[in-house]
Amino acid sequence: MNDSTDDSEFERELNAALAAASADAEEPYRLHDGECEIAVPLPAGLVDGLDQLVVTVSANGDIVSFVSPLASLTEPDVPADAATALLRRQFFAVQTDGAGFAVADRDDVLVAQYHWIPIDLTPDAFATIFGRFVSAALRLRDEVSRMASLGAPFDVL
Amino acid sequence: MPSDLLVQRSLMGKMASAGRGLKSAAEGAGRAVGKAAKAVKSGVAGVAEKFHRSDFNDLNATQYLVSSGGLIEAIDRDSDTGVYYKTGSVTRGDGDRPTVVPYDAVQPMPDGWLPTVTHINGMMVKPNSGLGSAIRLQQELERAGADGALLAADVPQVLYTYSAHRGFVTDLAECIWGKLYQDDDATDRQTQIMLDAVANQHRTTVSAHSRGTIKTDNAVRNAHAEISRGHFDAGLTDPAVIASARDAARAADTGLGLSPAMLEHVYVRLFAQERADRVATEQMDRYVQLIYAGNAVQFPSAAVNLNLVVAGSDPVTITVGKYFRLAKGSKTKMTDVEGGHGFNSNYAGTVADLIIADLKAHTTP
Repeated sequence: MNDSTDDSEFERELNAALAAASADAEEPYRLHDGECEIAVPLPAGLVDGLDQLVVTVSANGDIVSFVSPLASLTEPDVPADAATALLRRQFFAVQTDGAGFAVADRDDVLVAQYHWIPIDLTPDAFATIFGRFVSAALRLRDEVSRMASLGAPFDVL
Repeated sequence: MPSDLLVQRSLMGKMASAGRGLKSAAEGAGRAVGKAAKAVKSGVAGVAEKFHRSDFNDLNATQYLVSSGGLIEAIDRDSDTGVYYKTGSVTRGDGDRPTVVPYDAVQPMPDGWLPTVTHINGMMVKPNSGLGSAIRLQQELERAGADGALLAADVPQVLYTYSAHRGFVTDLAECIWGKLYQDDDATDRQTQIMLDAVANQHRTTVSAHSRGTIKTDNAVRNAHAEISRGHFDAGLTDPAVIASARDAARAADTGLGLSPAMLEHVYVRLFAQERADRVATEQMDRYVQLIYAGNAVQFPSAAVNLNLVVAGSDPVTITVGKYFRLAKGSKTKMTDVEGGHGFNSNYAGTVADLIIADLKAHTTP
């Protein structure tokens, strides 16, 4: 699907941005089946119980999606009180650093997500958004951890 | 002195937002003008306005200063200068609404004045009932102050913020206005109180009851984020933060994954954010005392110390529940009282005791 010969211009730009962020120029990050998984190692002691954050970057039309798992659901559905709390949080941009909560489609996993519609998909722009998303995802993880400690049915990853 | 504007804001219900200091006076005035224009635009909008008034939304986020002897004055904060002005005398009368007699000229509060005690009501509270709670709280402060050998002059006034109840019909009306998608002005008031407390290093108690705790919890989060952002920007260029990020990026570099430059870019943000959040928490804990009576927040913010006053027969607190877990949190204290959900009869006395104890703790050398 995403062989280089079939890549859209948008995906080529995103692959270029991923490559610019990569340490290995020979085997840089790039999309496979429309997505790319990036493990961000976290400095020791910065986040309790977490040594890396996994971010999946995907291309969906002209939208770049950033998704990071926060917690698995220990009940089939998010209870109303917890869902209400999450929705209240993301009404305010400053409380979520602009990101949001979602439940992943293929797994019962609560995720942090940000859907970016870039006007100009450059490596610098990608790096900025990526860095902001990592920071936001950790903030959302804090909130989910707090909620789990108060009884929300989340098993924080 | 913008006396006319202040009077208009406070007494005519035209102030669109007290703001967190982010919303300009021009923006507020513009919104008020827009609202006035819409009021005559269509019959539908006219109906909406009637629903607003039936729910006292025109008084939402108005503020009142309650002093010893039950003296009530309308008060407002100039968002440009941060100065509070008394704008009129208030009497409760027999109805649901207070009667406000505007002062000929608004009266600025003394230089540097900020509220020491604030209170916000819960849901389905009529303005005069909410004022009654503020009066009761002030009376309880006098009682607790006397017990604690506080001089009468040292017993604080209560800055009361009215939070209007918004039922379904009103929400529908607000959809017509498009206001549903904005922050609640009462939340903004609460946020501003906290920002002022930190910025001016003036310890302030923020007392909230019932649904007012939800608005206050949002305000806590917003204020914390705003204070943190101020420190965050400085952190991004702090040589120590940059050096730490660079060292961490080098340590994490395995030749695979993200490049050292990318990691450093990410880490600078993370280190700056961590430090900014920590400083914001320290500052809010130092200058803001939060007291939630009849708490309605299921998952309160962990960012700031919180005092919960919980009545054993309060259906709201029982429904929200999980206090045994909250009590385990190092930043949450819990005080049990007897009784139900009403503020005056069940909570006011204990809240006043906590406030006076806090005042003494922070004024005793």
